[in-house]
Amino acid sequence: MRALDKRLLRTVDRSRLQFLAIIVVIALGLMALVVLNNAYQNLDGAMSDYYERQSFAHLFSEFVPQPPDYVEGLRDLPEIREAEGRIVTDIRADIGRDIHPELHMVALPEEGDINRPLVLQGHLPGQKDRNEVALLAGFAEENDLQVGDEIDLIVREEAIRVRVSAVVSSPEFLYPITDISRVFAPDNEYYGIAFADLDFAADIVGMPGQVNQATFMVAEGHSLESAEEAVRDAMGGRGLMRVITRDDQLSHYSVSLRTGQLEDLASSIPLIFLAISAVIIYMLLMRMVEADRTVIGVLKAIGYSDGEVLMHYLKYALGMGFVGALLGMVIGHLLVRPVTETFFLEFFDMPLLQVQTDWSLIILGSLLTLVFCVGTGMWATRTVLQITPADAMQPAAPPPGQKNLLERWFPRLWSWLAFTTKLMLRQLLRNKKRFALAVLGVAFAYTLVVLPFYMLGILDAIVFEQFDEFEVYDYAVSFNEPISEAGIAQIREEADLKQIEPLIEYPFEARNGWRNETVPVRALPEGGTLQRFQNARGQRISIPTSGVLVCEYMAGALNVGPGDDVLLSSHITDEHEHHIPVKDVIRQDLGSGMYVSHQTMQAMTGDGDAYTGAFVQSTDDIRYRLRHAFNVKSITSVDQMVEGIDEMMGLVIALCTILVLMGGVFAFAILFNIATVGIMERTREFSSMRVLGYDRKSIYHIILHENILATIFGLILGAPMGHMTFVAVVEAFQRTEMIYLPVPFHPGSHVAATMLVCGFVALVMMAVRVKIRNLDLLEALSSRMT
Amino acid sequence: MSDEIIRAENLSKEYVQGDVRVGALQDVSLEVRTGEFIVIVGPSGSGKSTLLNILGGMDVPTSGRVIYAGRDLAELNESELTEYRRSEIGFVFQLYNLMSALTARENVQLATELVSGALDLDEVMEKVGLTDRMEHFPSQMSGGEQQRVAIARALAKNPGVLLCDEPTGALDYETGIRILALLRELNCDYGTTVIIITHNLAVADMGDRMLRMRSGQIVEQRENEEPLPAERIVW
Repeated sequence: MRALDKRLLRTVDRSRLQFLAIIVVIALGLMALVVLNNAYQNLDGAMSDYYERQSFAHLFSEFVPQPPDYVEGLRDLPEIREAEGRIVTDIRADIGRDIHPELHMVALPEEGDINRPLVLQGHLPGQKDRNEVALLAGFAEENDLQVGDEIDLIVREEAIRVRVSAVVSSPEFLYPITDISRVFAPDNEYYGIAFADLDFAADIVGMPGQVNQATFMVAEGHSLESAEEAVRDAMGGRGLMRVITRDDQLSHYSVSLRTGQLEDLASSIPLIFLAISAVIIYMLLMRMVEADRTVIGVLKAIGYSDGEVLMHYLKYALGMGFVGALLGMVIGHLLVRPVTETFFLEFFDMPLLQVQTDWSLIILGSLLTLVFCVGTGMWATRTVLQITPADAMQPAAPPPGQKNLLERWFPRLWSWLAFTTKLMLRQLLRNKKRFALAVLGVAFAYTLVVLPFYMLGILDAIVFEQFDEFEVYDYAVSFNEPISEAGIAQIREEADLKQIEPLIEYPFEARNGWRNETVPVRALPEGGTLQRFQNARGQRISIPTSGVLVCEYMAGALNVGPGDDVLLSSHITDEHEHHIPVKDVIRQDLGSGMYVSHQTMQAMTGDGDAYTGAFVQSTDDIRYRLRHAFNVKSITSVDQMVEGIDEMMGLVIALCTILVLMGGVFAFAILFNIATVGIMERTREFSSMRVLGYDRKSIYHIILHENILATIFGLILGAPMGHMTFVAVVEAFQRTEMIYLPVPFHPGSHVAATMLVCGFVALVMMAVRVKIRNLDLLEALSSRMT
Repeated sequence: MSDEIIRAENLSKEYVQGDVRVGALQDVSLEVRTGEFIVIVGPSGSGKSTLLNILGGMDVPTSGRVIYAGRDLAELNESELTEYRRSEIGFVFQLYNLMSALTARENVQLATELVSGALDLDEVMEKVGLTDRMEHFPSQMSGGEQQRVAIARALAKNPGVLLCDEPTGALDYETGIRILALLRELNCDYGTTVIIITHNLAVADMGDRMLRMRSGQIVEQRENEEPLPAERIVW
């Protein structure tokens, strides 16, 4: 081995903790690159393959029941390649338990192609017998239902016995949730998907020769938007309730939300890690070159070229890059499967998923590491080229000294300071760049640590604020057919309910000028207490007698505010448009909607008391009490929803812990390296102090105080930085029609992050203490060895 | 004595410090013959080190030129200058400047692996009397031993010229004498041209030629008909 390489290895050995800290950061970056990108590619690839193979629809439309010709006619639209009619309805099923779970029944034409379920076991319904259903795997497993079992479908006040003919998976229900409020946790126990034969379903739901939904595949060369517009135009005025694109389809939206986040993380996290390691490598190499000034001079005097000397230092950076990258990529490769399975397959039904490793990522990772390490190394060691051997033989000129600002402006205060404090302040003001790096390091670590706390805080706010403050009912009930006030009274009596507030909900087209949105409009009783509202200014408001409350997202999409009019129309109003004044803009984190009084809704629809659902407050389990109420389509329990979310929180907490630990690694790597560089630079200065009579403790205190100061400034900078980063993340990825997250300043997160960062700094200082104890300061003073 | 190996013509060197120009060398001319042992003496600031650095290709003159074996150093580009230092020049520094992370052997190896015609490493170590200290690190050696390693490092490349900047400056008297004796021995055994700069006038008597410098100029030049052996020098 060449002598210079031996020197390099021994230098690494001497600074092994620093070397290790940087390796860990690089390894984490490369691990993130391999794990996140592979997980994303596997999931995205599996999803695309699955959609392609099972012909997942591009468009969905819902309408009042129509004959199938109505849908077939739409095939003639140039934008549409294929169209199929089907029946979709929500029913309940008696599967032998006390509580009847809700079944979302999808009846497909026998010869259809769109949204075909993938049979995992058994055969599709209708092939042997009409009275058959295929159940989605998650629901079947959760309720221990198998092919051949019999269950009762509760439809139109009748129990219809059917046989489970198959257990299936479906591209339409990778993530089976009833509505967006379930986006955090599907409930396979109480909500399932059942596929049935179209004719059989038409008979039992009372829609003979009719369909109520259509699915479409868009023709090549046409955009989703143009196809949506064409369908909307063709079906408008003919009982159309709404048109949904694939992007807004609940399951696809939920999966895409996560794969999208995964893609963003996969492209940003590795770069953040590598950028941080680059900053640390830069500091370390810059300092090393400064300290090795004479070595460089000697090497050049002996006859080493600039390139050879430069390479000597670059090898240090490359060594860290190589070891870190190798370690990161190997561990990353081993983690791809467990991470994909734990964080994604747990929730998504992806039967075609094959966990594979994309080997091109190895090349990408190696190239990225090479670019970061070599680039940083070249930049940090460029001064090597400027060092002439003759100059290097002379002792370096001391940095210029002058009175600092504190000294000039507050001389009395300065005179009161202890000598060691003055020394520390002079050092900080003389090395502003290094101090700024330390402050930035703390601020960055703080940002990383505060983000998961914010995430938890926001989830907490969504879940608990939503259900403690805004939606304070215990159950939400929906009916198969609208019922009257008398029907509500009957339910109250049957179930012995203390409080029930009926509601009316229909999808409407909302328009303001050229802006147009489909939005659910919910009518609530005036003076009702089970759903409460808060406007954007945080004030409690109630349902207005006239006018509409609009959620923040929709107000933005339609560009309306209090005092503006919005035009509302629906199939239920025979497409007649009503001018309704906007009374206020309200907060709504999950989903989007508009809210009116019963009176306003009834004025628009012309119907009297025809309620489509109700909110109920009851300490008893009304799902059991109402199990024989045949008109009840579904009963959603808030408690159970919260329980499901709580279960999911365990995974979120695990994810957050990983992020916090990463923040800790960053904090340690950055601060330890900065402190070490500081010690290396000032070994002679500290030695002189030792000779004067200062002990190691005093020297440690100087470094400690410098770090405390950097930490304080870092925390002050980190708090707004963390908050703004979270706001940016939320605005970029989360503010959609489905989820509109609020980002209030969250003091609890900042307290937790501050405590953790201080803990990390304390760890760094413990390592620094050991380093100072091991320094032979007197030798440094007497020797001029290089 | 044989042919001329280095010729310096009218060398001047000025440093700019703020608004002030400081003349380190003023119109210095010098000829060095192959195998010669030259001692340049002078007080601090007389321009000795500047002259040595320019001769060694570590610094460039403000005016004048250095001809080495018929080649003008001013005409060499950066890589040719590196090659010149690599193949033709050996440096010995006052403070040894060894690599603390390398053993004595490895410090010498640092030089030998640079050139193809290097001397045998073990032979050089034996020559400087460090055979039994080869695997020691600088921190485990005395100043004299460290300087021997530095001399071995310079010599091992088998250079044409050995430039020694105050080689005894950091050593005690007896060790200093031993180092000077070693340099003379190497000069005789290998025929290596040696130029020593020192502020110690007593050393001047051991050179084939002595140059005295003051204020950037050579103020005296004297040939020693009978140079003193190092062991007889007293200061």
